[in-house]
Amino acid sequence: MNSILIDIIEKAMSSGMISSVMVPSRGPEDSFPWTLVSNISALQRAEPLPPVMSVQGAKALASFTQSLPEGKLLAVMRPCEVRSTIELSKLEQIDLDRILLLTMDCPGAVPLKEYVENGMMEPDISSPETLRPLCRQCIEFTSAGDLCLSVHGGLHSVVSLTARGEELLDSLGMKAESNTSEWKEWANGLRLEREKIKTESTESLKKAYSGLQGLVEAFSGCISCRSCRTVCPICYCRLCFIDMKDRRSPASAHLEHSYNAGAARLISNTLLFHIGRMAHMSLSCVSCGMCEDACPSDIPIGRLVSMVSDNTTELFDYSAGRNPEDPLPLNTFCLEELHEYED
Amino acid sequence: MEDFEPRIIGFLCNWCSYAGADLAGTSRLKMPPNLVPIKVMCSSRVDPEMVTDAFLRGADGVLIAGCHPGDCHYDKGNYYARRRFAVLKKVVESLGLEADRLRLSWISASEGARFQQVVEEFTEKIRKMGPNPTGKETLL
Ligand code: SF4
Ligand code: SF4
Ligand code: SF4
Ligand code: FES
Repeated sequence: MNSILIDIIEKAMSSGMISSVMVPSRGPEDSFPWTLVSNISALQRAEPLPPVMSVQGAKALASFTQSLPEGKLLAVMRPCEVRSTIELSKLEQIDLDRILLLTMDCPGAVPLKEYVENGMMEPDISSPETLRPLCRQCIEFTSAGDLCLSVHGGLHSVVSLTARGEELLDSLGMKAESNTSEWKEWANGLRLEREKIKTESTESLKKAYSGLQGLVEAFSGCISCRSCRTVCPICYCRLCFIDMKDRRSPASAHLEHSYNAGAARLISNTLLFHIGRMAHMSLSCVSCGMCEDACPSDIPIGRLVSMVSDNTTELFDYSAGRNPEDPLPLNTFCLEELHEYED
Repeated sequence: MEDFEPRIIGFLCNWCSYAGADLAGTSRLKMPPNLVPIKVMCSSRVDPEMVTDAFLRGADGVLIAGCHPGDCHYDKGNYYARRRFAVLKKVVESLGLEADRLRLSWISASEGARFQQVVEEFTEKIRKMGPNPTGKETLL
């Protein structure tokens, strides 16, 4: 593990500033499950940026932090995981009060399936083809949360992004890096490249899957496993609309559709699930790519939700996970707005 | 498409638009018979998935109607409804589906004539658009 990171964690733990760390650790068979580490010696197995994303960090965090009993927790996560953590705190699934978020320049992750098939492989930030599709077009690959560990642009140090981050470093007698111009230049350069990739990918996605025929094509292979929803950090509902009992259409509805269309798909409601889901959660989608990584049918579900999310968030000038103070767009309103949507 | 009669689902809020529809009826205003009303307690009760469901099941148009801004029986429901509706329209648009088949209108309990006008207008618009292709799609 990175030496600065070890230094921060060791100091913070031994001084009692934090009582535990959430970080992926190396498991058997090149696996990297999340772990809650409370003993410095157990840090040896920690692997903050594993080559694959196993469980989304925000999901791991939400699984136990709704009411932290005592002490502070440092969560070491990728930028998209930090951003979904912030969304989940707005959705009241994570209480950020006693959690510090540390992130790093993210190299991206390799596709889970390739990893499982080929064994150990490393993502290479400078060769997009080694990365998952949403990592290739990720423009928020750094700087989220309270502290960011930076290893590019000649930097090898920690940048503090919030007052809380500053406070932690101060109390540990450490200094945040202030000379960040080269690192910022590096980030801007990569962002530009990624934006280009994203524009191209969105264009080809639209071309292939636009309209009813396009969507039918995109989702004809969907096996309704709902893995995309299960692994998504934002879809936290205990009972999803699509699984509600009164949601199930009666046989007569299937028959009627079958009479009208000549035949009707079973299991039904594939498109309803995906469109309804996008209407529910696209505003908070952080484009982490978990859904697409999990899809057994290779449906570009992450890219689709992310594309839709770009358009829905634009309505409210919202950006998922950007600022903990920005209210969720659906939990607030302005008296005078959106008049073009009412007739 | 001579004999195409649009089928439109209307989610009408109990306190304003449903009462407005009632008034249009008791005032014997002539209206196209294309709207199937569904009473909801407030426009904010309409989850986007309900609209999506109607749309994908072949409804040629879906209307949500509620109290005018400022007049919601529950104070602010319609403001939230407007945001959700805008989001749904964006989703539908982004996916290249026909967002024009969805409409949000404010109709008060005393606006029987406005109810008539909205239904007429919307029915005509949908008639021009033709049947919703989702009705004939097998692999939804
Ligand atoms: S929809 Fe997919 S990309 Fe978006 S937050 Fe959920 S898992 Fe991540
Ligand atoms: S699709 Fe909607 S109801 Fe289902 S889990 Fe996601 S947010 Fe919840
Ligand atoms: S993970 Fe893939 S196959 Fe499973 S429900 Fe989602 S899109 Fe369909
Ligand atoms: S009660 Fe009519 S819109 Fe809320």
